[in-house]
Amino acid sequence: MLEIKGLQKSFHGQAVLKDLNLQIKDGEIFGFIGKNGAGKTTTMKILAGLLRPDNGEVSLDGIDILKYAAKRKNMLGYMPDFFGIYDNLTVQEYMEFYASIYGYAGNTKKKRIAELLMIMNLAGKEDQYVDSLSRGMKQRLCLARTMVHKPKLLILDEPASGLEIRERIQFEQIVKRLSEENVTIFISSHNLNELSAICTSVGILNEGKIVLQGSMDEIRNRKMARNLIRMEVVTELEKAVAILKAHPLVSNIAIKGNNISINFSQNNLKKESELLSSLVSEGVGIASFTREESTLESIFLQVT
Amino acid sequence: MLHWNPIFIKEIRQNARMKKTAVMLILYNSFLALFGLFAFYLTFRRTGNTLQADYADVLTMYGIITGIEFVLVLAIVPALTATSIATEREKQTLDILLTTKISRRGIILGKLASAISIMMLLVISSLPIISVVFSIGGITLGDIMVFMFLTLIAAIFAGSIGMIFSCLCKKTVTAIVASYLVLIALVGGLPFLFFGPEIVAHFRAYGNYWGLYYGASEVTYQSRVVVFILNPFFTFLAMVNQKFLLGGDFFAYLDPNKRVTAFIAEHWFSLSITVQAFLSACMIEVSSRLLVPGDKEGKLVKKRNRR
Ligand SMILES: Nc1ncnc2c1ncn2[C@@H]1O[C@H](COP(=O)(O)OP(=O)(O)OP(=O)(O)O)[C@@H](O)[C@H]1O
Ligand SMILES: [Mg+2]
Repeated sequence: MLEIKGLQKSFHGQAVLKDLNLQIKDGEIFGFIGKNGAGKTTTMKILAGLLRPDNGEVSLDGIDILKYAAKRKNMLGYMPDFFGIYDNLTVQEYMEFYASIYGYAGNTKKKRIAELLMIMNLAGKEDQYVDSLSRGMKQRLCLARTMVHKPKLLILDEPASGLEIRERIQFEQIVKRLSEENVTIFISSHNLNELSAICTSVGILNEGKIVLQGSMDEIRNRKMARNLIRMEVVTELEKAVAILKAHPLVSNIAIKGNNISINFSQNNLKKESELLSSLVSEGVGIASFTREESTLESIFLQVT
Repeated sequence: MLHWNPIFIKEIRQNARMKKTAVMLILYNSFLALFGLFAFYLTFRRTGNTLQADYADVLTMYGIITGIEFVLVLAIVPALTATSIATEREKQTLDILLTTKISRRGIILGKLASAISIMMLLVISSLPIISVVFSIGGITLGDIMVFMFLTLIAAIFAGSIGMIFSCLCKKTVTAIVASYLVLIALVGGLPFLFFGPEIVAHFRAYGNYWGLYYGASEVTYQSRVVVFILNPFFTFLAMVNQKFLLGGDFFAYLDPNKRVTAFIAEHWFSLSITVQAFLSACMIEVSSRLLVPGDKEGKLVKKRNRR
């Protein structure tokens, strides 16, 4: 369990993180969403020990990782929003470098590296020079590097940005597979859609605070709560409008030709079906009745 | 500890593949060979066909060649260390390293060791040139070992100076310039800073500077001379002087009135080496404290290097 409490950080008197609170359960893939400059990287650097917060606490499995650097370094893998690779090293040597930092040696080291390169779909690339790899491969190599010591928490700063679609999908599959091994994964992005395919939970950061947090399902439900219902009325249009106007849960009725769209302010399927049947029983001819799903994007725009 | 330091291994690998290393080896040895030939010529030209040379001249030749080698070491090592951390910072790999388990001191030591190892590679590769003097005689294996040891300490000392600035400065260029300034001040400027008036007086009287080292001076340098213990080049001169040139205690020439205790004068070589080694250790420690994440320009640099 990763717990962030009351995290604050300002640069030159300008507050970037005002009061950041988060709780992330083990094994989650947590999407950390925010606009450019919202403070995602700042938060991640604080977790990784690269920045000191002005205030606040961070604990991982009950251990204060801001205070205990050695424990933090063992428990956490950090992938920044740049590659950070060395020229003149092969994939194998690059991995060996980080593996020996964590005390791997001899056959255990070789085995661990082979295992990671396999997971990352990089098997067979051992002797290639790191700077000759494609973006996606570099990305996966960096991920392999962060995983070398089997961390409990993986921090990935905008890993999906700048990847072409195929590589992104591959990357997502790998991240999913990693999370099955009970690694908690903390991913940032400025795009909620980008992460919706893999995240189990999401937090949206705006103006230094989390403005929306929940499991992906909760976010999807919230999506419905904001739903617009659209219907196509073929007969008795006026009657339909009158019924809708009289209904306590309906607001914002918009009529465009045969199409009526309403805001149904409660996320309640039963009430929705009652509304439909009351329209039908009054003799209104309805050709279609659909909830229009607002996109994740529009949720993001609403809360930020 | 050094042989398993991952940074050291990594650096060695990278250096071995760089053209820079090969070019440096070639230039270094060519330069040394040229000077060696020149010294050889100077030593033997008087003797004509008989190839007889004054025994002392051969020793002078050894002094000149090793002196040049020593100055080259002092000139190259700071450049190697001054770039080491700054490069890592510019590539932003330093931030990554600092989130891993390797200690700051481990990073510094690994970097320093790799710079020193390049240096020792240069020195060892030049042994054939130095050992030309062997063929004539007068120099023992022990002398060469002492010289190598002295060079090693000087390399660590100069390298640590470069290391401090590498950690302090955010740019490679600044780090190099700053380290050279300090080193030049230490080796060249220090004597003038402390003994300016005496040196000027000496120069007026004898018309040269060189005699300062050979005791032609009647100027009293007093106990302030002890500050030279920081100067690696004086350590070198002490070695050369004691062993080969005048056979006496070179320090006595600087301090004829024996204001400084005889103990320091007598053990100048070992004392200065100890002091310099101790200072190096301090500088390594300071460097590791200075090794903080990030870069001053923050966002600017970051955006440029971003994926
Ligand atoms: N070292 C620094 N010095 C001064 N200001 C900084 C520093 N680092 C970050 N900031 C500022 O803090 C704010 C948050 O930056 P941060 O990099 O955390 O945003 P982000 O959410 O990661 O944005 P992006 O999507 O661009 O990566 C920005 O306004 C940035 O200018
Ligand atoms: Mg960022």
